[in-house]
Amino acid sequence: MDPSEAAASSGGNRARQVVDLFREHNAALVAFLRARLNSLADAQEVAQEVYLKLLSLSDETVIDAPRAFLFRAASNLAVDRIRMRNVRATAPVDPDADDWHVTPVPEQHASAHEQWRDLRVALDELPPKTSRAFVMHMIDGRDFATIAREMNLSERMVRYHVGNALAHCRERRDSAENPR
Amino acid sequence: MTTTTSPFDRPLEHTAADWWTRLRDPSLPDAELLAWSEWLEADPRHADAFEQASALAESIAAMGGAERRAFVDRYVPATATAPARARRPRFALALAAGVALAVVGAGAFLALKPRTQDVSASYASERAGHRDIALPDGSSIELGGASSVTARYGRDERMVDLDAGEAFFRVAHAERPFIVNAGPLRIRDLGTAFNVRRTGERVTVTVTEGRVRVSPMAAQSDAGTVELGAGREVSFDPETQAMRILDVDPANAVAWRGHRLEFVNEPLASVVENVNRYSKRPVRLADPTLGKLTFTGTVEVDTIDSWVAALPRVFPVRVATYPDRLELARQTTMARSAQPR
Repeated sequence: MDPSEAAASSGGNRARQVVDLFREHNAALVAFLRARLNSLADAQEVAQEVYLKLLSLSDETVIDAPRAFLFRAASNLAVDRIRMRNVRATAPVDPDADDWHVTPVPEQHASAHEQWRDLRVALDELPPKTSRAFVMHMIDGRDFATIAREMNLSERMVRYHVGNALAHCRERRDSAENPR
Repeated sequence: MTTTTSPFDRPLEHTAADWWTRLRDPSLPDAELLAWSEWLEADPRHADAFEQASALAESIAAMGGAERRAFVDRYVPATATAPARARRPRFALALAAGVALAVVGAGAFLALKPRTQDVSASYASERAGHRDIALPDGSSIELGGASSVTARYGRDERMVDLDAGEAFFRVAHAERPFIVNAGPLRIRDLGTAFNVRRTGERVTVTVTEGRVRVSPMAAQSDAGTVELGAGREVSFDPETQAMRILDVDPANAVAWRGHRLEFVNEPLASVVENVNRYSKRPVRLADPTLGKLTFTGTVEVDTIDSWVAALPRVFPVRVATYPDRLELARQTTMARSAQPR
């Protein structure tokens, strides 16, 4: 959307602007939130919240860079969601509180054993630093800054290792699913 | 589910994975985010590769507890990056132990004990005092001010009760697990160094090296057990019965060893109780509701009086000084309006 057009909009145009924004970028918004939250279900929910939040803005609020505005709103709501999760996930009184996170979908469960064995095989093919950074972030849930501190690397390098390992695991998974 | 029939596009998959990791960073600049969304929307193959990477990441993150532990144990070595404190020779340790053993029952450690029999020893430190304790297996405990522990070494486990206060544990590797009981929490060491602060039933465990497993004492099974690595902290809040996990700078947790106490969002009641382990004159709350205010900051244990004196600047309190105590009372509206405008 053209920024000047957005700025000039008024009256009931806000709703139309928001609807257009979502029509155009909803896929990217959900993909962004999914990466942040590591959960498609949560991403879809938060995307809804973003939508409602933008709709509720008064018409006086000028949005001059709609896409950036969209992602910023999403980013903020993602932070809230993670915070809420931390509270839930660490309450010891309810062992099921972690459910959304731990329960695998049924077909995953059946092949869970194989799945993790394959993951282990894939990780064993990587340099120790790469697999370590990957496991610390993906499985142990550490943020990049903490891993960088513990491994004595820059955050950039940590990210590099994690990305490499992820692509490598993708490749192994892909060749297991599509034997050629 | 997408069935990929096209051959695996390695450069594209790497780009997708790289974007995924960049998006994980909460401080990603807007410009990069926009660049990513343009990349994503430029080609359906991009979106597909990104989705595949996200899905894989998501499935890995959903791993169950036991598997999770197995992976961490296998790929994340317990770091031995101890801020190399010069290792004192054995006899010096024994000497230090000799000094520490002034407390009842402690002499039992020096005797050749029958392995089947439990031995126990209690140690306590004075207000504002620090105390180093060398345990017979090579583990050590540093006690903060006004703190006490009881060590009970049995055949199958090394058990230490933190009765009150704060202690830093450095655990020697051994087959027998090393377990710390701190009120509502049980901390099981997996080869490590960690700090425990107990304020009544409020307990905070911070790991500075290696890993520990923390469970609520009440739990029958593994329910509520969390496993923490270096740089992580778990706090048990007795009011909500919840455990909260934070990433922390391990140096802050053990700041008390350098005469500083660090607090993050800690109820004032608990802060005061900890400060009192060092204060010459105890600090009292005249109004218990003040105890619910939360404090974040540093208290230098050598200058507690000036910390107290500064509190009215951040909290609605006034300080009354008595010979034997400092008292914090709620600031009345009148007292407030009496301040210079």
